[in-house]
Amino acid sequence: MSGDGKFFIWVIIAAVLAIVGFIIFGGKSSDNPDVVIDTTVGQRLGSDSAKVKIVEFGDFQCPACQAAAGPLKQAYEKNSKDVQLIFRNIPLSIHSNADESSQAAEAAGKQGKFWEMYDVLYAEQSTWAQLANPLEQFVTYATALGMDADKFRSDYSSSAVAKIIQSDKAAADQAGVTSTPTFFVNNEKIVGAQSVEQWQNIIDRKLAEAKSANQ
Amino acid sequence: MNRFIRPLIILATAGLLVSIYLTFKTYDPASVACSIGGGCETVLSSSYAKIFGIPVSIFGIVWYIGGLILIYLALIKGTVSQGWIKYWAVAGLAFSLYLLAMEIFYIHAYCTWCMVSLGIVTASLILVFWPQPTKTT
Repeated sequence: MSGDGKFFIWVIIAAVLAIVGFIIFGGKSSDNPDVVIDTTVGQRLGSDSAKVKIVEFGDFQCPACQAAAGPLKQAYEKNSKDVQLIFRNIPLSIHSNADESSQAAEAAGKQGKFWEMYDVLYAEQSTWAQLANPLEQFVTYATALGMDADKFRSDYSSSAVAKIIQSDKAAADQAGVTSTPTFFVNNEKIVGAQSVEQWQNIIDRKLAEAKSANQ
Repeated sequence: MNRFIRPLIILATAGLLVSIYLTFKTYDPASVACSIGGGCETVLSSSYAKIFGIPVSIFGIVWYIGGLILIYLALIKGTVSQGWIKYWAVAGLAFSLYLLAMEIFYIHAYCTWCMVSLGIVTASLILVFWPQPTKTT
């Protein structure tokens, strides 16, 4: 065999070894050190005494958050006695209307309609994501959800809402959140969208942990 | 082209490894996320990361494996025309530029590893089309 032929074979062997090594040693994600997340802050859905608290750090313009929202809500509805959902904003600068969508959600929260707006923002993401100014679209959603449009507009641009978002961003930074959606389930960090089945497994595990801790 | 056989083998193998890595990332649940400052997670979780339900990185794997087979048959064994390597390189660049356009105009995020692959494809194309010294006897 020629020198180039031998070189070819050796490079292929090295590549195969690299792939095998990656599969064996590189497939496992790095450690996610648990952090303590304040579950008394943020928009909450469900009982404060729930045994499992799922904190979502999300961006309404992130497609992955949109993908995550449906299975999360389904899992919540199946386990609503035991689970509380908490939402914290982390609007990413790569998304042009992320800040505005967080403002819309928090403004809806001022009228007790945060979670309704949460659903609409994710469901209608493709409608408002590319608008130059999405406010009027958000007002349309707010009105359809039975909110007072004038109050919504005023809360949307209020310093109180801006403060909430700033505080959420600071909490995300402190918790080491680098992508959305990032969840903390009883302080255990989970990155990325999960299926309903995956959520059920996580919730069952956390309930079992809570039960054994009480015994 | 013969003096570039070994660099081409290394480039195609490196590209194959990058494509395999990106395929793993596509199927990693943690990659279904938007990253602060953009990045591979945003690109790989976008609807443009798949064509007919197949991750684009799979096309990359096929392209790089095809390239290695062509390098072996055309440049080492000499049983296939070297012209096929030129078609291979041009097709690779065309597809990579299409993916770059998707990142620029639709996804608005850039994946470093996709850029590495683009660099490998471009370097391969340059080597393939680099003028060969005429043989003197």
